[in-house]
Amino acid sequence: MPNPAIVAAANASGALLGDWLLDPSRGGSLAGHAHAEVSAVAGAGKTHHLTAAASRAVGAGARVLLCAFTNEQVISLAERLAGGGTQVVHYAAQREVLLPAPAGVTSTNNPADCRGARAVACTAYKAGSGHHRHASDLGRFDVGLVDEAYQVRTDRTALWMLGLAGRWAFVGDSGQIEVFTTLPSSPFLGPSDPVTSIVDSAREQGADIGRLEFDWTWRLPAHGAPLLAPFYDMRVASAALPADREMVLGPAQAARGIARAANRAVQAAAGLGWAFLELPGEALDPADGAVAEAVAAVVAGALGRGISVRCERHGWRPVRPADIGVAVSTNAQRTLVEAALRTARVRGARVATYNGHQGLEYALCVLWHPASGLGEADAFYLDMGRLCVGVSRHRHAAVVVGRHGLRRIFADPPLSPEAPWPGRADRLLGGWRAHAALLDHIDSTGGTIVA
Amino acid sequence: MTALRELVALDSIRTSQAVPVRSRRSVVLSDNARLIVFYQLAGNPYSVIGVAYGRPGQRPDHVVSCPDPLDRDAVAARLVPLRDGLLDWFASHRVRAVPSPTGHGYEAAAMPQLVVTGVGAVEALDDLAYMWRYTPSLGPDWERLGREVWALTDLRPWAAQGAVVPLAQALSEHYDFGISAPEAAKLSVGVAFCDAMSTPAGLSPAQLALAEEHEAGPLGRPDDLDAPVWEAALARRGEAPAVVRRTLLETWEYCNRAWGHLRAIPVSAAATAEADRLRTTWAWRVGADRTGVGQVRRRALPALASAAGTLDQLEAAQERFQAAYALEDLMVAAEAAGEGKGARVDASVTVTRANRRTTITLDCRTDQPLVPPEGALVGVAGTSVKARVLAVTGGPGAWQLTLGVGSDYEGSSGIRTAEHLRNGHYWFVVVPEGGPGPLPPPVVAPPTHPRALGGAGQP
Repeated sequence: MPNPAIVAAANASGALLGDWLLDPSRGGSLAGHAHAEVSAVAGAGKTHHLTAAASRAVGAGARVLLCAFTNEQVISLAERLAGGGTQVVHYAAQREVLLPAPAGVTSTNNPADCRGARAVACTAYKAGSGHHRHASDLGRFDVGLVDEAYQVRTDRTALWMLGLAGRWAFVGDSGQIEVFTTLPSSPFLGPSDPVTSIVDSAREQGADIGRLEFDWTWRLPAHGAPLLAPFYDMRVASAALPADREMVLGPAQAARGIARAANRAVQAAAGLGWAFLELPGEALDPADGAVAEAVAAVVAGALGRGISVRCERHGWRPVRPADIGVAVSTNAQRTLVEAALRTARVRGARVATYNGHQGLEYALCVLWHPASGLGEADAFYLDMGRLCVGVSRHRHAAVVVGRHGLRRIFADPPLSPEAPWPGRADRLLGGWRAHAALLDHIDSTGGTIVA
Repeated sequence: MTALRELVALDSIRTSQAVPVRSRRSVVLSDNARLIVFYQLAGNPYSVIGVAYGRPGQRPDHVVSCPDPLDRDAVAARLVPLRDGLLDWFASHRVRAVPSPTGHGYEAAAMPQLVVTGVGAVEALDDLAYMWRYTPSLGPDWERLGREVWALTDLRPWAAQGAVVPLAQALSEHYDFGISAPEAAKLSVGVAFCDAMSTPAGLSPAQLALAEEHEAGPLGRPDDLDAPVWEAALARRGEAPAVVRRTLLETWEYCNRAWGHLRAIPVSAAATAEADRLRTTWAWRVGADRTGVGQVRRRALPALASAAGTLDQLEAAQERFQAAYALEDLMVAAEAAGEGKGARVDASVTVTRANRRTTITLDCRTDQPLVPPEGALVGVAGTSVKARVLAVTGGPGAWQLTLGVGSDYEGSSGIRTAEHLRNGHYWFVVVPEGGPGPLPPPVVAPPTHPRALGGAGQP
C-alpha cells in the first residue's frame, strides 16, 4: 500500500489546479493569481492532474486549450482526455493526423474543425501559427494549459500561442532537460532571452503567477526518491513504501568476463536499488564500444535471470524486454548499443537518448553514464536535466555503466566557461554536483561493481 | 568533442604546433578593415588605459595613452583623433534607402569591419560604445560613434560574422593548439603556435613561456600594466608611463601577425554568402539611425518578441552556414559525420537514361555507427550535388544507403555534376530543408506580460 500521507497530500494538492481553473479565487496557493505554474517532480502524476483539471473545466462549460511541445505529448494528452469522457479536437499537422482517431478524439489539420470545440489539443507551434493564420477558426479560449511547459521555449510561436487565452496554467517538470537551440550559446541576456522556457520568461516579464509544487513521486522506489533532491532543491518523497517494491532474480548462469560483471551489477541493483558497473581505464570518445557492450551485457544478464518484480500498482509480474529502458546521451551511443544488443540477441528493450525517455517509465533502467569517455567537464553531458531524466525513470532499480576514467571529472569541480546571469544557477556546476552525489551514493551503499 | 578533434589535439600536443582543423576560413576579411587595440583597468569597464588604431597589417595611425584612465572627459579629449578617424571611416560606408514592402529598407555596397584582439575586447568595446551613446556631456559625435560601434558589436552572434573579428578566437577556430580553451583565448599564445608551424621542432617551452607573458586581453596585466598606470594617475603626473605605449605596440604586432596567419587561409564561399546577408542586415540596422527615415517607434512588448525573431534568424543562419561550410570543407564534413549529420561512404554511381530523362542512383556503403535517416537530403561534399536518401538498410558491419538524384526526387539537384561522379569515397552532409516560414512578432502583448503591454495608451 502506498504511503497514506502522500496519497492524502496528492489528492488534496492535485485538485487545486482544477479548482483554480474553475474559479481563479480558489486553488490554494494559486488563488488570486492571473496565471498558474505547477512544478512537479518526475513521476508525480502531473499529466494525470492536468487532464483531470481540464476535464473538470470543460465539464463546467469552459473552453480549454491544451498545448505541449511535441506531437507525441499532445497525442497522449488528447487520448487521456478522451479516455476520461471529454470530447477533444486534436489539431495537428497533416502528417500527424491520427487515422483512425481514438474514440472521443477528432483528429484534424483543418482549423475550421476547432470552431465550437470545448477542448482543443495541439503543439505550441500549431497553436501559435494557428492564432496567426486562422484566428477566427480557433477563436478565444477561457483558459490554456501547457504540459511539459519547461520544454517550451519563448520563440515567436509561443508568444502567439499565449494570445489565445487570457489565463494560462504551465505544468511541467523543472528538473528536465533545458530547451534546445542550435546556437552554441544563447546570445541573449536578461529578461528578454527567448532561449528560456515560457515559464521562466513569463516570470521574468513580471507576470502574476501562482505556484504549486508536487513534491512526491509515485514512480520511484523509496530508495530512489532522495536522489532527486539535488535536481529540485527540495526534499522529494516517494509514495511507495520500502515494502511495496520487490525485485527477485532467478538463478544465475555461469558467465565470464563482462557478462559475469554485468550479472553482479544486476544482483547489486536488485538489492540496493542502484549499481555502477565500472569498466577499467579511459576512453578517447564518448561513443565507446566497450561501454555499449557492457550495457548490452547488463540488459541480456537481467533478462537471462528471469526477473520478477512486485509493486503496489501491478502486483507480481515478470520483467520483459519492454520493461527495460536504456538511456544514452547521444545518437552515436544509441546506435552502438543497438548494435551490441543485436549481437547479444536481445530484442524489445527501448534504447533512446535521455530526452527520448522523458515521460516514460520502466521496471529497470540501464544508464550509460554521461561523463564516461569525456576529456573534461562538458556542459552538454553534465547537464543536470539529462541525469535527472535518467535517475527518475525506474520503478525498481537502475544500473549505471561507465569507465573508471570518469572519476577524474569528479575529482575537482569544473570551472564554468562564463559566469551565470545574476539570479540564475550555474547549471554546469549544479550538474557536476548532482553527478558526484549519485556516484557517492552508489559507492557508499556498496553498489559499485568493478569489471 | 569528436574523435577527429581528439586526434588533431593529440597531434598538436605531440608536435607543439598549430594543426589545422579547417581548410577554409569561416570569416571574410575586409581590405578596408580597422584594427583597435586597447587596454582597460581591471574591473573598470568604462576606463581606457590606451588605444592603438589603424589598418591591420600596417603601423598604427594613432597610439594614445591616457594618464588617468578613469577621467572620462580627459580620456575623451585624448581620443578625439581616434574618434574622428573612426567616424570618417564609418561614413565612407554609405547606406542607401530603398523601397521595401514594409516601408523603408536600406542597402550598402560594403560594411565596416573592426578587428580586435579577442572576445573579451568585443565585450569591452560594447561597454565603451554604451558609455559613448549615453553620456550626453561628451557631445553628439561620441554618441554617433557609440551607435555605429554598437551596430557592429550587436551583430556578433551571427554565423560567420565579419562585423567584429576577434583574432584570438578566429585563430583557435582554424587551428588546434593542443592547449586548454582559456589558454587558446590568449592571442599571444595562439600567434606563437602559428608562427612555429613552419618550424620542424614546433614551439619550444621557452617560446611558449615568453608568449604567455604577453596578455592580449582588454584588461591588461594587473601587475605590469595596471599598477604603474594607477600609481601615475594617483600622482597626477600628466603622462602615462612608458609601459602603456610599449604594451600597445607589442600587442599591435601580435595582431598583425595573427592577421597575416588568418589571411593566408582561403576564405569559404559559405562565409562570403553569409557576409553578403550580414551586410544587408547591418544596412537596415544603421540606415534608419543615419538618415532618420523609416525609424520604427519601439513598442514595449517587442523587447522579447524581437529577441524571439532574432533567434529565428540566428538559428536559420547557423544551420544554413554549417551545412554550406561542411559541403566545401572536408574537415568540417568529417566533424559533421562524427555527430551523425553526415557520412563517409564508398559509393558506386549508376546513371539511368530513359528518353530525355536522366536519373542517378548512388549505392553507398559505410561502416560508421550513425548515418542520415531515410528521406534526408544530403549534399556531396566538394560538389554541387544534392541527393535524396531513398533507403537505409543494415548489413553485416555496415550500412547500405541508396541515394537518388533527378526530377523524381524532390529537392535533389546538381544532376549534371552527378553524371560525372566516379565510383569511390565521398563525404555526405545532411542539408537542412526549408520548413514553414517564421511568424511575425505578435502586435499585442500576451497576457502573461502585464508590464510590457503593446497597446497604445496602456499604463
